[in-house]
Amino acid sequence: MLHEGALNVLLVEDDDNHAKIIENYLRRVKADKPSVSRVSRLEEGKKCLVSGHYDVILLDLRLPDSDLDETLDRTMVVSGNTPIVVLSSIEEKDFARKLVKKGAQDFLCKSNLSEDVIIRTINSSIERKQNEISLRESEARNRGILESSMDCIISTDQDWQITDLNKAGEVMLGFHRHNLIGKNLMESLISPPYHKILKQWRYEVEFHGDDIDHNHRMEMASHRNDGAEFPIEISMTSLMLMQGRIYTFFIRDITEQRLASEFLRLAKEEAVSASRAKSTFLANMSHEIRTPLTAILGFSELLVDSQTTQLERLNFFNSIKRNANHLSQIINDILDLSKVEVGKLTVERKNTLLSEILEDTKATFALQTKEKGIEFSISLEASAENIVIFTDFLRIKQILFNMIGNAIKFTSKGKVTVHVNIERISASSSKLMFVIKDTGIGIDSGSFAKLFTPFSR
Amino acid sequence: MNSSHEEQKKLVKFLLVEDDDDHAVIISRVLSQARILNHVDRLKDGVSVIEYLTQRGAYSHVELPDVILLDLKLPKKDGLEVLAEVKSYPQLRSIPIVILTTSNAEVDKLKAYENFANSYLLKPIEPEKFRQLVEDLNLYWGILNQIPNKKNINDQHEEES
Repeated sequence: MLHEGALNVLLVEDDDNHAKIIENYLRRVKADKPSVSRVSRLEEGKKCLVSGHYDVILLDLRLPDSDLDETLDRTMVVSGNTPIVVLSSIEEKDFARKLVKKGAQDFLCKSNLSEDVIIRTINSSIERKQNEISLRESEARNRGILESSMDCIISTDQDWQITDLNKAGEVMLGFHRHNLIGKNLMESLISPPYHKILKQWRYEVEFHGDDIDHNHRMEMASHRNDGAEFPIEISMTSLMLMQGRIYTFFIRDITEQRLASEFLRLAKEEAVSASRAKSTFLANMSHEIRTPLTAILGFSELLVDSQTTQLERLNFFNSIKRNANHLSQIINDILDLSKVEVGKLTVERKNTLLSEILEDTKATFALQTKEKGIEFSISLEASAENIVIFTDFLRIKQILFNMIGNAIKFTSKGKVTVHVNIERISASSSKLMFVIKDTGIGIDSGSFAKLFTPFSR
Repeated sequence: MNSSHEEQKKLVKFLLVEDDDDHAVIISRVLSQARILNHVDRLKDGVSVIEYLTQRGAYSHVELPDVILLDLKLPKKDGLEVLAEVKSYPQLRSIPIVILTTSNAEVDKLKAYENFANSYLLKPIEPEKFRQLVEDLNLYWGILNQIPNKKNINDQHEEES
């Protein structure tokens, strides 16, 4: 980039003759004549730099108030982005050349000056300084991107020795930068099962170059400073530079994504299994409804059959009634269940005599068991005759009726007994246990596990 | 066809496997009123069906049925298991089995046919239609349909074992 408009030159030179020669050369420039401010002492020059703007500093090294080896350093304290061209004698040429490495942009040998050389040196110094500034800014920008990234970014050399890593990497891995730089990326950070794939990646890059189509991105596992393994997504890019190949690895901690997807999978599985259980339940319900319905329809038909005797009609009629009651019971149960499902089943608790519940239960099943020819008894500890419980009368009867009803259904001979045990917990509270025993077909030991799962038999 | 009817001299024998007493009463009653002579034996659970058909224990002298009416939800041994087991005996395989069930589940229908059920009927069936169906079953499985002579199969089976 070339300077536009007239140059503003600060000339720091104590020797009047030398100063004059330089000023003369600069005055010969035709278009955009440079303006030159000349000072003899370093301190004056520094004052100028603080208060004014200059495009370039022409700096003599031996000054009345500064020695040869300190002049540049002292100037750079205030020179900022202004390029410095060192003025040297022929004897000091080698020294001046060294100063270019220390921060000066160029040097002019006072015994070998011309208009051309001066202008060219000044312009190239300005240009070099500007390049230096852009490079510095670009590096700062890149560093900013690197450091603000949420992912871990690691640079390595061609052998995967770590040369740099960003702040996110330090946090993710739990290592301090110093503890990782110089270590091998694969050995220190990647779990062994994935080493083979990583080596394959490197092989592909080394043999096919950078512009290959391989997608070097994969889920692997890494471990933290404390040894804890965690899932990562890693991607790799590489670049061939003059000093050799460099690699950049982007590593993302995917623990949370994994958890989220695992959570989703479980939720889906649960939903599917709930829906399957519900279908099974509905199929069972359909059977439960069809069974009494079949009887009702069948007996109704037989009732009107002319071949049916009067006695048979009475029996059929009773069967219809029994099945209708059963059906109504089932429908009530289903309605209750759907209330439970939508959370609308109300439980109204009040003080109730235990003996009253048991009397009701006894009366309900007395006839049925007598007809079926099985024994039925309900027993209660004598001390519990007057026990009052705080409960929902209807719900507890519903539970007892269901269990006892089932016991009777699957018992063709023998007996069904209900016994109530009382276990005192404290002076004011007790635990009741209802034990229902039957001599029926029983339950397979294999089905015990299914006893308390919803919707299964 | 009429002549076939008139020629019927033998009794068509049904084996009804039904745990529900009400259903058994209705089905037997409808069968007893059918125009074709028949006899019904009833069993209440799955295990006894196998004993009956293999003529073991209390069933050593029973005659094998012409048609089996089989419920699916049975105590001790599920109807589908009974079906599969019956069809696994070479000497029983030719006895037609009609599934008569309250289960409308696809999986039950599928499994029934996979296990060589000959028919699948869903309860409740309108009584009038059921009456008609029983007569058709009687006529088809009991009279018209030709199956190998059971006696011969049995003898053959005994020779094998």
